[in-house]
Amino acid sequence: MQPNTARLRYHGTGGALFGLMFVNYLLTLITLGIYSSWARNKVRVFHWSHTEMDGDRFAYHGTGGELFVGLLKAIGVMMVLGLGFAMIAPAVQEETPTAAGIFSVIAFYAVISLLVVYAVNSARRYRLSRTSWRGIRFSFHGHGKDFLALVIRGTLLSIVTLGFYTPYFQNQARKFFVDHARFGSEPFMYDGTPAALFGHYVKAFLLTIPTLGLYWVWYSAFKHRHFWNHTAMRGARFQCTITGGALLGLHLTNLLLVVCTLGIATPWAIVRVHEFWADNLALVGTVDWASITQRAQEASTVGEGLADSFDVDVGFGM
Amino acid sequence: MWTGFYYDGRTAAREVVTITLQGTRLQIQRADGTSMLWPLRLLRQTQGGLDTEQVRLEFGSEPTEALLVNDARFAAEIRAASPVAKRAIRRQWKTSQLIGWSAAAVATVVGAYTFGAPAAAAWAADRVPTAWEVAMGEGLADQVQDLEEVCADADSVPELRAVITRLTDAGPGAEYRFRVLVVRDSVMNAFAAPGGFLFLNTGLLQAARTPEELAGVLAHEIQHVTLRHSTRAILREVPLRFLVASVSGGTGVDAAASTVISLGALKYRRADEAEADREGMRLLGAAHVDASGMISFMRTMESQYGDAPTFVRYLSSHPRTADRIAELEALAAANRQQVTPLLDTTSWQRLRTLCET
Repeated sequence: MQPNTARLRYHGTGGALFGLMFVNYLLTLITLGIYSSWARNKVRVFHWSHTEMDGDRFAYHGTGGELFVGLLKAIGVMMVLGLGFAMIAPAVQEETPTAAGIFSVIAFYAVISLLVVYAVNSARRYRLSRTSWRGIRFSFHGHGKDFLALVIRGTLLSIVTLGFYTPYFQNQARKFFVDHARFGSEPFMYDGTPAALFGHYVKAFLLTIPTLGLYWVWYSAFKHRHFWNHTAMRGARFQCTITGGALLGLHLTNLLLVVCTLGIATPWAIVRVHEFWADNLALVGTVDWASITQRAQEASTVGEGLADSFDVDVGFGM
Repeated sequence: MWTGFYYDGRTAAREVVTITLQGTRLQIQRADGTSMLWPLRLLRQTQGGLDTEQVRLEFGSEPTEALLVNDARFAAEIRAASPVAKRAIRRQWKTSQLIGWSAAAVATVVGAYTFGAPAAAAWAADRVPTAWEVAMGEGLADQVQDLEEVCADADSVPELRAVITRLTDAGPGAEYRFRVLVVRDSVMNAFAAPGGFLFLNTGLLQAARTPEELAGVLAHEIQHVTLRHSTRAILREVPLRFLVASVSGGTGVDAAASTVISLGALKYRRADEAEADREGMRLLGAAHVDASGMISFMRTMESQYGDAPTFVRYLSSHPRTADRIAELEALAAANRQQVTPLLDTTSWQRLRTLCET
C-alpha cells in the first residue's frame, strides 16, 4: 500500500449555517429556551456532516433529547448544590466572617470547579461515543477521577511554579485525551514530550511585553501543531500546518467580520474556523481500514449537560 | 442508477457500490458481483437534509450498515421515482430555500405579534378584574415614587380634589377611585396608570392658565383609565417583554414580571388618544365644565412643544396636535353645554403654585 494523505475538508457554508441558527433561535424563543438542547444538537450534526476526511463525512449520532435529559440532570445537581449552600449561607452572612463561613464558601466553589472538570471528561466521552466515520464509532475511555487527579495536581503545581509547570500540565492533559480515545478497535497514541512545549512557553513568556502579548498566538499555534503532530494511530500520524500568523489573521478577520455586521455574520465566522482547521489538518500514512473493527460504547449524558450548563466548550476533535 | 459508498459496520473498509431502486427496495450492487436489497421503509436517514451534505442511510443494528451517497442528484431523483422513496428519503434543502423559509417564519411571527398582540391585549384588558388593574397601578406608582419626587397627593389638596370630584361625579368609571399624584418635573406632561392612578407634572400645572384647562387634561387621562387604554398598553407589551426577558435572562419569571409592568410599557395607540380626547370632552360636558379649556391647553402644548418628542415622554404615539385640535373644535361646536366655573381665582392660584415652596 502506498503512503497516503487523508485530507480533511469542510463543506459547510455560512448561508446554510445562518439559516439553521436562525430557525434555531426562533424556536428557542418561542419555546422559552426549552428548544436550546435540540438547537445545539442540530448545529453539531451540521458541523460533523460537513466535515470530510479522505472522501467520507463524519456522522453525529447524538440527539437533542439526550442533551435535554443531560441538562435536566445537571439542573438537578445544581439545585442540590444550591440548596446545600443556602443551608450554610446564614453562617456566611454573619458580620464578622467566621472560619466555618469562609471554609464553606471555599468548599462550595471547589465543588463547582471539580464538577466542571468532571464534566469536561464526561462530555468528551459523550461526544466521541456519538461520532462515527465510515460506519465506525469513536469512543473515549478516560475516567473522571483520573482526569480530576491530573487537573488538581497540574493546577496546584502550576500555581506553585508561578505558571512554569503549565506546558507540562497541557501536555499531560493532551496525552490523557488522546491515549484514551479510540476509533473502533484502534487506539490513538500521543508521543509528544513537554520539553519542546516548555521552550516555546518560556519564549512566549519573555516576549509577552515586547509583542504586547501577541506572541501567545504563536505559542498557541505551536501548541496545536505539537499536539496534532504527536497524535498517531496505527501506521499513520496527523499533520498540522497551522501557523501563528495564519491563526492571528483568522481571528482578527473574524472579529472584524462579526463586529462590522453586528454579529449577523457569526455563522460565516464559525464556518471560517472550521475551514481553517480542516485545511490545516491531515492524516498521513497507511492505515488498513479493513482491520479496524467496531467497538460501541455506552455514555451518560450527565457530563454533557453539566458541561453545557457551565458553558464549557469541549470542541471538535480529540 | 447512482454510485455510493457502503460500510458494513464491522470494519472501516470502504466499498464502492452501485445503487438502483427496485420497487420498494434499494438494490446495492457490490464489486464482487453479489447484491443486497434494503427495504426503503426500514432505512434511517441521518444526514442529507441539506444539499451540502451527503445522503447517509443506515440499515439494521449491531452492526449498523451505512450507505453514503455523494451524488447530488440522488435525493431528488429517487424521491421523484416512487412514493415510498419519497417517504424514506428527505428532500434536500438549498441554502437559499432555508433562508427564504426562515425569513417567512420571521415575517409570520412579527406579523402575528403586530396584529395579534393589540387584539389579544384589548380582549384581555376588558376581562381583567379592576383589583388587578389597581395592583398594576400601585406597582407603577411605586416606580414613579422611586424615580421621581412626588410632592403632593390630591387627597390632601382640596382644590385638586374638587376638580377630580366634579369630573368623576359626572362620568363613568365608578369602579375606580382616582388618585392624583403631583410629580416635581418641569416637563409639561400627565399620564395615567391602570386602576385610576393619575400623575401630573408641576410643569403642566404651571402651564395651565385656567382650572378648565387642567380639567381638560384630567378628563383625557381619566378616560384612558376607564376605557382601559393603560391596561391594554401594558398587556400589549407582555408577550414581547416576556420573550426578551426569557431569552436574555434564562427563565427568570421575576425579571419578566418586573419589566412587563413598567412606565416604558405605557404607550398608547393613536386611536386610543383620539378616543380619550372625544370621551374626555364628553365628560367635561357632562360635568358642566367649559370644554374650550381642553382646546386652549392643547394650543399651549402645540406652541410650546409642537410635535416635539419631549412632550411625549411617556405617551409616544399622540396624533398630531393640530389634527386633535381641529377634531375637538368640531366636537365642541356640536355639543354646547351650560357651564359652571370650577374654582375661584384664589383657589386656582394656590393649586397652580403647588409644590413651589
